[in-house]
Amino acid sequence: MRKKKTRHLLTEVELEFMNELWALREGSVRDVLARLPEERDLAYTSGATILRILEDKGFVKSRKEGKSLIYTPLLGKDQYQTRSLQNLSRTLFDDTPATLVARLVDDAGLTEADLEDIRALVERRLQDDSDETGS
Amino acid sequence: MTAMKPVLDLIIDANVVFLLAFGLWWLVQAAMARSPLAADYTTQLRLLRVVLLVVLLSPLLSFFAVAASQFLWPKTPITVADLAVAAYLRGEIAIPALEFEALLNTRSRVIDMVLSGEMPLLTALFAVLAAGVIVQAGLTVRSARRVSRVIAGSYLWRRTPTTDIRLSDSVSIPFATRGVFRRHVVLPTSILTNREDLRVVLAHEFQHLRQGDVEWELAFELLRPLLFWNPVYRLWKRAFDRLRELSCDQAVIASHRITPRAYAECLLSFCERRVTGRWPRIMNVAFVRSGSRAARRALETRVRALEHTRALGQARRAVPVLALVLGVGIVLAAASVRQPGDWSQDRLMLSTIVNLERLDAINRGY
Repeated sequence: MRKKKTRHLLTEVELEFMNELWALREGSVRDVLARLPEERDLAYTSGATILRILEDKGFVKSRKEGKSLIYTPLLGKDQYQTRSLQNLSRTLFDDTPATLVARLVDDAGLTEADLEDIRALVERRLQDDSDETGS
Repeated sequence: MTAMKPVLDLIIDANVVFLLAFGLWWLVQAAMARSPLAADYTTQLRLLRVVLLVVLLSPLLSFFAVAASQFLWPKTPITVADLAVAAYLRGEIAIPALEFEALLNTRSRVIDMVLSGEMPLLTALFAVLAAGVIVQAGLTVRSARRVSRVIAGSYLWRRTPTTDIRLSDSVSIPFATRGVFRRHVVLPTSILTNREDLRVVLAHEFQHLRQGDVEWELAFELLRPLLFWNPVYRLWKRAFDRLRELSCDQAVIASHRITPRAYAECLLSFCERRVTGRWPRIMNVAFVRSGSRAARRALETRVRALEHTRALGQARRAVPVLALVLGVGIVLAAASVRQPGDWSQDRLMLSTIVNLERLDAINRGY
């Protein structure tokens, strides 16, 4: 059996396909292509190749159903978000996640409601941690 | 150290022939630029390849040329050294025989001095060049390993009997290269999302493979460690790269129903993308180069050349004649710089005169 290539991050076009698969939960090449914007004009063979590459990299698995292959994500979207952020923190923010968050909070694009949500998330996380330490 | 002498002789001969051949080719190229063949890059590339092949084979061809000349015209000198000796014996060079002989043996004397370490400056220069050879060889190996790593990490997309088409995340510009047994066309994965670019790029890279450009690129790079210090090597390489791309572009447009506009747009779109990290410029034939001023100039030339069409058959008939003239010229040039192998009558005569001069000097001393 051919050894699978382990890659941690997705390319732009692979991420586009994974987003559609995450939304579909599982699907064939045609299912994924049908969800792409019309202007993409992607050939069927190109779509099939991208999904095969994703399988090769271990992001999806496939099973035969009739004449077509059905692809299922092996990695959840949230898991990939975590992996992607960890990579961003390591490569762009000197491995200090606090700097990454600070940059995000400083961003003028965030509304007050967004900031409140962030505060609530941080407080909830701190509460959970202190509960675990107390018990 | 004695074993090094023939190697040094060979390297010096190769560099001198390179220089002379470039001069001849440059003259022919300048003449072609004023002829109907000016925009026929495929023909120009073919001619350049003939010239380079003759240069590569020149040690062998010049050996046969000298042997043939000695057989057919035994008394006619062909090497520069023998011509000079003949001119000296005719009294056309008016210097003492001892001085003339020393002048004639300059090259051999300098090589002896370098190898014996008698002249520290020359020996140091030789050491620097030897270090350069090692460094250049190391750089070539490093680039080859980098290209090899990219291929190993790529995804095999399609296979023909001789070529693998591969997709890679780690390159942003397509290229063609080869291993020992198989040729590879490596494309960035993102190209799958653009059918027109895919068509143009595949046509371009396969044209390079058909033209044998990848093999020529590898041959050039394998010679680099021996010739890196020779500016003529760089001039040859630059001329070859230019003609290789112009000829490939012209052939693709002529045979693949791709409009010059679509082709130019594809070139420009790839030029905007940068290769991830430092991508080796050697051991591969890239679709387009970017980043340097020379690369920008080359791109401009390529885009402008897209509107040119190939020459008519009539003009092309002159090419075999030009190739023959250049080939004979280069072989004669290579033969003329050869060190004379054995003692000719003229050489024996010169040696006798030198000995008589020495005896005369000794007698005068007493």
